Amino acid sequence: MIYNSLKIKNFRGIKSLELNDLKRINILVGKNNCGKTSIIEAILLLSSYSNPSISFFINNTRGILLTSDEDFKYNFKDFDFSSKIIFEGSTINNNINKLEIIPTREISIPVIQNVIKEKEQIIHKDISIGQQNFMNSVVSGIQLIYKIGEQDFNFQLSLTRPTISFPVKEGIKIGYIHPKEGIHEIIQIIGDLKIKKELEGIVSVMKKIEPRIESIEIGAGNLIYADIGLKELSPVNIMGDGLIRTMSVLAHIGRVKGGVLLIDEIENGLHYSSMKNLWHGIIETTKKYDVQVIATTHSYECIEYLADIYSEIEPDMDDIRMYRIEKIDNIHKAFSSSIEVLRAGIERNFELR
Amino acid sequence: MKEKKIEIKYPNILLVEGKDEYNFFESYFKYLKIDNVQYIDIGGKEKFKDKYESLVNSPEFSKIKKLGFIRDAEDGDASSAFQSIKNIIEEINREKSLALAIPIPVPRGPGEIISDGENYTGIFIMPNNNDSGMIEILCLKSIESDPIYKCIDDFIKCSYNKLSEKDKAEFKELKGRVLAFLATKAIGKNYVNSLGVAALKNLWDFSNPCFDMLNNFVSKLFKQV
Repeated sequence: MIYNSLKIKNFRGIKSLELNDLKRINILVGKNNCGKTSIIEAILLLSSYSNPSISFFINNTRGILLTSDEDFKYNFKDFDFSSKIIFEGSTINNNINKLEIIPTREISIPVIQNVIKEKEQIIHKDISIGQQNFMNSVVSGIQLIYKIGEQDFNFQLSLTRPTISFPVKEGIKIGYIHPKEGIHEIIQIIGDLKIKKELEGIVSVMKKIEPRIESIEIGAGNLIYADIGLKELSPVNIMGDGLIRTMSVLAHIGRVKGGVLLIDEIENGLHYSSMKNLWHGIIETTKKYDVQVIATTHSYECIEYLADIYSEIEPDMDDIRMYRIEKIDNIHKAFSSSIEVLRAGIERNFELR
Repeated sequence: MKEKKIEIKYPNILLVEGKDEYNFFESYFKYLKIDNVQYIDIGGKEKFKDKYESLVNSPEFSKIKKLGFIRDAEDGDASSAFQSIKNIIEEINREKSLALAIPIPVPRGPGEIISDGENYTGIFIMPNNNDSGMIEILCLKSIESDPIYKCIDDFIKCSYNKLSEKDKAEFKELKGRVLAFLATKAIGKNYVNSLGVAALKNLWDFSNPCFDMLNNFVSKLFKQV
């Protein structure tokens, strides 16, 4: 587990938001456009100090292709470059990790004097480099200023200029599953886990969900296969979306051992009957690999199954939080629920999302 | 089909502790011509903090302007039932200070309506903000002048004497009296077996002065601006 709490300022639609008392498994809920995905992106940026180019990537997942440095404005509240983006996360080691993002600007130095010929006289006319010129300066990228514990470093990112970088220590292991992720995107992860002899840990959890699974292999045609006791290995593609999704999430958890996994719309592609298995796998593997999960969902069943299965597997633990994000009078608020509060709300049939 | 989730839809909310109370207030508010209140069955005192917190966390809670709590004193006195709710409101106000735009105003005693100028809160402890007991006491009082009441009284006393000592200790006399009264109303197909449904069928006399204190409380909370 990494983060205890998180503060976000001036990022996307969020002017200010705090999430406190984060746990091993955290669910973000709320109406459309309440900022759930922005929170995921904020954590991704804050944690990616070993790979800050993620700043380009987060816009791609929204379908925004940056075509000029001016397009970095989409990260800033109200597209206003003058509001500095700030992310701050306190970690379980009592460190504060902070990231500030500001625009970098390019000012072309004007000619100091113009020579104007007027009625045969030579007039020297000064051109000032004043406020007006500055305001007309061009955004040439963004600067990411990190303070990770006691260490400061920064990067300048630009589409049109070479990236200026400074040496950094290794970042937090972070994974991100976007809503449309398919099976092809996890082949590499499965391969890496196999090489590092970590795949068996995932398979042992998968076996509890699908007892026929003996092993998982990568085979011909760059496909993932499962040995389910047949004469031949079976491509997982034909074993059902629920199983594929569960395997994908568990593989990501294995890859970010000791780090954070962010999942946008965790219920995507899952029938509600598969959610119980998914949560079962997540609860077991996050514990095994010491991974913190922060996931968004719109699904009530998804929350119900998490509460059910968690109470079954870890009845005496308090390692889950749900945060309902709501914009009240243009200010974002996070209402957090423990497992007990979640269960009480489900029992009373209250709307929780 | 899955039951529809309970959503906060009105700025005026009355939290009651069971289906009976829910039905009772639905009928009682119709009688009082109070029509802008949403009743929410928040359940009994068991794990009340978790249930209340869950409601505070639910969408639109911030839009509530008037919040009423109805709770039975049961075997204790009203002040301990009141204190328990008061403590929970204060605790959640503290824990949610970042999320709650404005803390919920906390009354100083049962029956008091308190306001911060914008939001109103009141806690009513059945039957009268003072004695032990429950909603059944009010309903039974409202029918004391009914000639049948004497028969019920005799029946309950007679039956009680025939119970074993063990059963006597666990006998719910008030609930028994309510059920006995309702048994006398089993006329045609129109019979009921719960206090709440009896309220919906107008079997309790809401005009009886025994309801005055409750009437004053809900009218002050929900009728006045």
